[in-house]
Amino acid sequence: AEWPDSIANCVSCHDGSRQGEEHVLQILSSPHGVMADSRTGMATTGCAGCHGPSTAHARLPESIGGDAPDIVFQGPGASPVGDKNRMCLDCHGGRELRHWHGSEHEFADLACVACHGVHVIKDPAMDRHLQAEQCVACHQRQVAEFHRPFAHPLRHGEMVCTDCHNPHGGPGPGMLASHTINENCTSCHAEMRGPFLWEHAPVREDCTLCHQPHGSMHRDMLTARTPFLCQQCHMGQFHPSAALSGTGLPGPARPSGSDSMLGRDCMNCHVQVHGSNHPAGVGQTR
Amino acid sequence: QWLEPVPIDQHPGWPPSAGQAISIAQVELGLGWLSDDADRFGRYGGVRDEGLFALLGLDWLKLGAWDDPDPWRIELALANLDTDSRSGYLALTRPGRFGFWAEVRDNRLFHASDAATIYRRDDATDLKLPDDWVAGATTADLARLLPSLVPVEFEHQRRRAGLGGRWFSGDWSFDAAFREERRDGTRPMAGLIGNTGGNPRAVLLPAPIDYRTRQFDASADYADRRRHFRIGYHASHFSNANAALAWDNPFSAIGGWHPSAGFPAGRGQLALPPDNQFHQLNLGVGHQLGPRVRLVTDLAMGRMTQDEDLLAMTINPVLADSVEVPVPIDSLDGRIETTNALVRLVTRPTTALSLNFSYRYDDRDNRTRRNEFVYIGGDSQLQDTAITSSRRRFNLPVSYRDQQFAIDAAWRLNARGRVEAGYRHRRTERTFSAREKTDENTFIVGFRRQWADWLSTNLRAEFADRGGSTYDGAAPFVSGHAAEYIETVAGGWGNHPGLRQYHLADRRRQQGSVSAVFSPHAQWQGSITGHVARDDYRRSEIGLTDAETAAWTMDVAYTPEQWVSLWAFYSYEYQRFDQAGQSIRGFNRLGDLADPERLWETAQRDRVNTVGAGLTTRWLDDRLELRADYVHAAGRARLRFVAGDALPTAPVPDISTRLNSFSVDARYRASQTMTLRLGWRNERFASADWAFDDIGVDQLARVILTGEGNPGYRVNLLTAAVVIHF
Repeated sequence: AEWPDSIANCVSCHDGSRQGEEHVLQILSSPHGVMADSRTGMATTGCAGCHGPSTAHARLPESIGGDAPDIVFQGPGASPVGDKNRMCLDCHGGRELRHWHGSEHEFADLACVACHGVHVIKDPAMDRHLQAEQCVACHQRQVAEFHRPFAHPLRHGEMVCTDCHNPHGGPGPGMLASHTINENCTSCHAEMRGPFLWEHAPVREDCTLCHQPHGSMHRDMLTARTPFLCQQCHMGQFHPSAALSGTGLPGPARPSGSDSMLGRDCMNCHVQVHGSNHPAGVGQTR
Repeated sequence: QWLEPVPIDQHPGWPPSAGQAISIAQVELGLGWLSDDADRFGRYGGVRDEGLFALLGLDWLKLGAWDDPDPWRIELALANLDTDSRSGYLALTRPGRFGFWAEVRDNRLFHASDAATIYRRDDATDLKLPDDWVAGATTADLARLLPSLVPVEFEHQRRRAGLGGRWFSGDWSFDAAFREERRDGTRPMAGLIGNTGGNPRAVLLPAPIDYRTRQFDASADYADRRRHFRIGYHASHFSNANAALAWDNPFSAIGGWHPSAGFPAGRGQLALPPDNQFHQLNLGVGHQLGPRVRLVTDLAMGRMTQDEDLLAMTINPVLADSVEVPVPIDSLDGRIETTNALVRLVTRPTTALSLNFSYRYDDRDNRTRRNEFVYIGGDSQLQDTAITSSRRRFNLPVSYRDQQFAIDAAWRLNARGRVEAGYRHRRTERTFSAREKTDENTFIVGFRRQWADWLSTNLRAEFADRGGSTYDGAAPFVSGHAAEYIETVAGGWGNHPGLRQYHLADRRRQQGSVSAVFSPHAQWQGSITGHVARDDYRRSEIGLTDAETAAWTMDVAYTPEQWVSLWAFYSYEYQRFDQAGQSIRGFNRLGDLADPERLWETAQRDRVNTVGAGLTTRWLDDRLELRADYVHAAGRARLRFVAGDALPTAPVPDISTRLNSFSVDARYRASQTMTLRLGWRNERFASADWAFDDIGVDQLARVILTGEGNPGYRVNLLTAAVVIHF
């Protein structure tokens, strides 16, 4: 190949034939390698756009007793995280990364290349089929949560982490891409957004007061078993305060059992737990 | 069932020479076979029916030459075309100039297919009983209940489509995207007739889902090395084709109901999710104030609205004739103004010290008007307009404001270690709440250390203490009822006065986490993480009193040779909830309140164990890849009850779930242009839950259930496909 001067010297050694560098030239087929895109470092200064001028390295590489490139992204001789990330942020400082500074991942000294691949035709972190593997490499707890019986379908490939989260930080809690938890949830569950005539106050406040979004032992991804979850907040006279236990299970004959225990328990009647818009929906039953 | 990524480095044209564009594609053609019907197995992926299905997929990637002055990048991906989770994605990009994308994604979610209903659904929003229906006061008297059942599937399909574009101009970029999602299906909803907790009769109804959500986003971004700026607009419009669901009452009139409420004239009606909209304007500015100081700000102002026409107070014409005080408004004209702001100052005053200061503001100002509604309980009574009527109710348009100030600091001890500390103060204000204001202070300390090239650890501990203004549990009750009625209520409260709702209660939370990442040898990698949190609701006598969560995970990967790798993980999760209550009877409210024999406690313990292991090997110069994976996940929820002598209790069986999934995949690259794929998955799922185990539609006296059981399946899934590369 006829390489431009800005990379020819580098490619004379780093041509993909060295062990561990088999994919190095894939950058030419990635967005970073498009010479016509003047925004890329490759287009202007070639490999030096990300790795620094590395003049000492060019004269005498470290493999024969010389120096490493100015910026090394991977391996035991990798540059400090701040130096590596600065090369990325020089170009990627806005848009989805505008909340990077001060984000949890930034504060934890996470390098961009810990998740992203640059010398690849397709960055796995930005591929819906491969992204989860990047995230769960560190977030093992979430792997277990998604195996719980009631969970969002990440295990099935129908969702990915970035459907809700922005790993570069966001304006809201939990590195969500949205400003609030509820804003995030109702972007897919808009029927629960309201406002409703008869609000259920905790719903208006925070969906995770009752739901575990990554997965739960209990149906509807609830944090705890109903009707007991409901009774943590509702303790009015008669049935809301009843001592529910195995006495409400079916007896030998039918019908038998407690309306508050079997089937959908509280939601056998109070079905509009997310809010009701019926004039008579005071008790969330309409 | 996804195609593997395009193996570009095995393409004959790789690496490209100057001026050489690359076009690579792969088509998957094959068959799959599922051994048994298994709704839950296929509840997201769409493969749930016994028998054959086709494997159809396509990936195409066209890249302009890297030195092409006018290159294009085209991506096309089609997957799972013969299932209900099919998807397609197309992107046309002119790098550095502009790009367009379009996507479609379907999936189907199954809740239950073994359910049944007594209703005939010629009109999905107007449910009719069969002509020969025989009514009764309880399910025991419904002679035609079981013969009338017809199967119903609770499931819905999501169909999403979107398109968008992006344009670049110097340091500016502009984005626009439009998405539409349609959801169609059926879900269970309770239809209740009755006006007190003492006389309800309910039936689980097949309610229609016919939703459409449209979203539009547009933004303009500027970014250079020192600053960024963004202005964006987001709109979301939800519409429901059905406003209400009406049904025939299958029960005959009982005491406490107006005679017209019972079969055959009695009918009920409930409101389905109303149309609503959300609009939001977003402004963000970031600026590098100095070489070591960055300011990041974000402001979003939005409006949620909902103005669906309200239904009548009752669908029952006899009861409607009794209405003297009509519904005071035709529609809610509901409006919530949202304001979200973030200011974050990030500074690195020295190479060793990192400091983050942030302030987050979240305000949801509910401007919906309050009105008095003299409601008719559950389509079953005449309107009671007495000044002391409990049916005089005021809607409570709750507002919410949350502010959090945080400071985080990290001090690098050396190249391998650092200590962290943080402080947060959170103030939350609510209207129509038992507690108008809560304040929480959180203190954090942490320590990270890379002990050696092969071992790093992270420790973190948090302590949080939440308090707030005076807890007035009666406040929502008082705000929602007429004063004249409250005067008739002994004690003047609705909820137990000793109750502290857990999201408002005083709470001390202690959390700790630990993690270690190790790689003692180039062939070995692994990690251990643990997280424990303990909540002490220290002033809650009634309600949630204690909670605890713990999660421990371990994983290890071993790669003895380039051609073989193994992995395994294990996790243990634990949740504990301790809550207390007191059984209060309406006719002896104050007496029961003083009776310790009416106190009760419930303890819930959830435990989930998940273990997985896998192996990947490559043979025949990497042309043959074999992969085997196994996952076992078992959950168990245990409930225990203790109560005073006045209250009988009995134990309940544990609730349990068990998943075993084993799969083997083989991929053989027969030639440069062909790969053969074979797969086998054996998966078993079993669950036990007393709320559904052998619970028929007629199990309860006052509620007609759906009869759906606990999910469980045992299936084998075989797949065979040929992938053609060209």
